[in-house]
Amino acid sequence: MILGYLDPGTGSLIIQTVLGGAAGVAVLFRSTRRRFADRKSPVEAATTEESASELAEQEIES
Amino acid sequence: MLKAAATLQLDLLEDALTEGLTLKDATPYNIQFVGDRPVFVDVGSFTTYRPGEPWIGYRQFCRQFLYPLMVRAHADVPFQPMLRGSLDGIPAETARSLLKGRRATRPGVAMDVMLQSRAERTMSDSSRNVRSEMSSAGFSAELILTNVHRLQKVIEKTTWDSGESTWSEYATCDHVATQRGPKETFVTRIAGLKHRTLVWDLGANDAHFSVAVAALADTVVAVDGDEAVVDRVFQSLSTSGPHNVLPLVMDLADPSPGLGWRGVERRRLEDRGQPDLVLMLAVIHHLVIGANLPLAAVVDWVASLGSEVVFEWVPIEDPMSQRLTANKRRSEVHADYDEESLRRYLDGRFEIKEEMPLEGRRLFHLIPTN
Repeated sequence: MILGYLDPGTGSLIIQTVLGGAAGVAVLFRSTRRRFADRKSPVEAATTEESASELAEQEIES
Repeated sequence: MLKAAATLQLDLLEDALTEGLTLKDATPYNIQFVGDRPVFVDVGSFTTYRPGEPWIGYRQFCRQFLYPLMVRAHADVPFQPMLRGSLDGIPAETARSLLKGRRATRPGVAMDVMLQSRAERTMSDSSRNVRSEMSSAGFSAELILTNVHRLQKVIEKTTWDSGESTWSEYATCDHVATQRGPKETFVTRIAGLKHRTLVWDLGANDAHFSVAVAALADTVVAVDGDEAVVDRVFQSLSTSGPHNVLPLVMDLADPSPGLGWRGVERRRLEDRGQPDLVLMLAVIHHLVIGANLPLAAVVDWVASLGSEVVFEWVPIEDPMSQRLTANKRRSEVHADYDEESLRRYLDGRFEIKEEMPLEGRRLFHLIPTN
């Protein structure tokens, strides 16, 4: 027996929002808005990365 | 048949989703035909639907069901060689090339082919976790159901008009009409000597003899290389039976090999079943004269099946053989295509249990000797 896992294809996944009708388009809109909202300025990103590093160090020490 | 399988695949996905399940893939190889009836055979494909997940098998459904049906229906391109050449089916980009222009206005082509092809191209090197993004944005099973309902309509409208082909009017030929009666009597008598589990009718054309022996066997597989003829046979069997005859498109001179990883994922014809009776009626001249295979090699292959055979010898003088030699010099036809050589090749491989002359042709009942 051959067992395999499918490659669902990134593009094929995304267009399923459009193919899901009006509710799907709403999902696409929310998803796109979130991606833009999640984009941070370089300063914010650096701060976040520093915070994450500090948190990781604290966890290792403890 | 692929359309019937596609319909079953979508119907099952629809039912699964309403029960909180989904199908994790969408390949025609999960659907086998018992006679003319499609049966889903991969229970392991059913899995619990995780809220927010898109349909993972959509791309595969398109490549292996939808695009093959579309290129056949809208571009008049046979899909069998493409599916045989690639287990993964037809890529969106290839389907787009075949369905451009006016064909792009046909149901589903703009969204499932053009849009998907573009999306695949644009996103090919993306590292985004789209599944997670879609899930958090509220993707749900209802969206998959909307897509499935749309695809059901697209598949319904994707119809191929097979029209006439080289062999679609074969049954109306004079020699066929006059020989069918006595040939059918011979064939059904041999087939009825004992109960048959599996009969292969090779070069079945309109499956006349497959249908004739259907009541004497559990399953009859009717193989023919003419897709239009096989399509008509499937339509006829679906509506009026008998329902234990499975029609298959296959060129006997170039049959489907083992496919996929190490050639064992999908098996070749000979590995799919052991027939206890093989019908080879009016097909030998196509293999030896038409496809230029040596007579000894064909007899050897038939013997390798280890089955009883009802074999029809069609001599070189026969009008149908003459058709095949019309544009060949005598030197371009195997010199040993004669009955004497046939008997020599059969000797040692088969016992000739019975034979019957038939207007210049000859029917044999052959029993394998080992």
